[in-house]
Amino acid sequence: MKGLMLKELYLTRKYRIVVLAVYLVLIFLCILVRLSAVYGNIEKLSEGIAENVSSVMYYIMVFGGAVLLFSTFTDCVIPDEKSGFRIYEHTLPVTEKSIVGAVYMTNLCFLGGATLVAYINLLIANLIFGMEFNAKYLLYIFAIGCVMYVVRTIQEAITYRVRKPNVAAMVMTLMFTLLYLGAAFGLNRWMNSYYNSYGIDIYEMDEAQREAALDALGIGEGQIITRFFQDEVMRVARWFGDNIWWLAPTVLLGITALSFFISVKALKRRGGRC
Amino acid sequence: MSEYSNAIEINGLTKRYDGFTLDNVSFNVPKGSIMGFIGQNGAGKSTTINSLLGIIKPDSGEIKIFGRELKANEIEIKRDISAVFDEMPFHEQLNAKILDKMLRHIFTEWSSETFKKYLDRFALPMKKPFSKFSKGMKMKLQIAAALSHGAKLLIMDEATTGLDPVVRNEILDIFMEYLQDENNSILMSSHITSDLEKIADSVTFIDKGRILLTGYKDDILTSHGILKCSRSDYSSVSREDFVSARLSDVGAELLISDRAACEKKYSGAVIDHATLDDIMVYYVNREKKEWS
Repeated sequence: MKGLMLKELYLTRKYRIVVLAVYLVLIFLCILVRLSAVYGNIEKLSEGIAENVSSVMYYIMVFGGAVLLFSTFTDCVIPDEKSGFRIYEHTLPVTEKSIVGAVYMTNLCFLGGATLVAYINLLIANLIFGMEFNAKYLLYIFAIGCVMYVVRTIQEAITYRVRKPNVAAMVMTLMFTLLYLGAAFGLNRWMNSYYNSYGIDIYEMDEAQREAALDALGIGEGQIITRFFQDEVMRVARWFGDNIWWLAPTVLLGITALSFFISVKALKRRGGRC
Repeated sequence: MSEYSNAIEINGLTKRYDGFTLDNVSFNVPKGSIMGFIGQNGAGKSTTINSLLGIIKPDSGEIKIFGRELKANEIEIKRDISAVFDEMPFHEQLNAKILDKMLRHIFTEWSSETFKKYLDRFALPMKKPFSKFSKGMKMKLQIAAALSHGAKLLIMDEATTGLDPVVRNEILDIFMEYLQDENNSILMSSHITSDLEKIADSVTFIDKGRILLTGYKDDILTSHGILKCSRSDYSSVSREDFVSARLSDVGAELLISDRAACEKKYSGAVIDHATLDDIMVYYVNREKKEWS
């Protein structure tokens, strides 16, 4: 497996170097803006602006930087097919599990490495921006990494299954479109049930009836939506935030195991044919 | 590794595709020998080799390599096998240095020293990406990689196709050196029969997914011959005595498979030596019996 991991690392190194360069540029820009907010032109703007700009740049540096770092997840599943290496690797003394495992292990190593760099980045950002250390940010950074790793893992399983990159991209797009539509539908139903608590049914009442009901309650529609996000959405977000320490690894391991199983099965079924 | 007499034993190998069937293929490659696997394009050479290498799963049949069942001992067997293909199967961005590092971790018996020795011998650069290699260089690279982990069996699928005669000869010399060790064996598929005529100990002919002939090359070449006769004499030759006949305005050329018997039966007839090329062409046309 080590040999196959080396191949993965070597073939994807250019892409990773480019991402790393963009990441460093982003960090540099964030630091420049911070310096300007303390000593430069931004500091001279009206009261509060410098603080706001600083705060935004802090989050960009911490979380934007993390997103960039975690976008180094990549693989050689398609290049292996195109180069004919898929045929060759089936003549090597390695199992299908090792072949797929090398891809997954490489990305898992990158998840660990990128998380570590993102944590160091967080500490540096705290020092530069004079922010207090928030332990939850460590979990949030790891969660971002897990989400991006999981997306890549699903993509790998689909690619092993369908083999063609354009078909794999289409399946991914379809999958995420369905996920988005499902989420939008779910959010809509959820919001309606919240409206129900005010005696309003979005689906049953027309606009005039709804406005009459709101007038009777003495509140506007905007207020209900704001309360919905404050009460309901934030409650769920807080729950995720509190439970992310076990939720992220569980989802990560579960989806990795499932994707690994699908990938190995697909590779076994078709052998080394390209 | 236990004692074995055949490096490869294939019995009743069958693989069905839409429009093509590899039908009950059986042959052996004796240990310490080089076997030429001959057939026209689409005859089933690559399907057989891919089954041997575990690239495709056959529908039925038994494959034994080094006297052991391939299915049950795939990983152990593959440690002692090398494969060379007509197209280089490595990523074009890689170079020999990285390939060495990679294969060092895959083959326990990998020798970087041997690999570098072959690279020097073939004048292949260490750090140049494979995308800048010529076809001959790519083939030499594959052979260098194949011979650097002490493989006991070399399986080549059309490895010399598309190479110029100088490079082909150089490669054939390497194979002869490789066979100096009597534990090493080679299965080499090709439709360039002149190469096989030079180096093969035994040959197997395949056509339309079926084995036509298999045996020692010298025996096959000795037993076959081209009987040359006029059109009028041709009509007196029994149809069971020849594989197929090439007819022309001036006469007929018939491939006979029992030269000694024909020499007795048709005394006075001119019977020339048949080449592997002749045997392949005449056997491919055996169903038509007469062709021009």
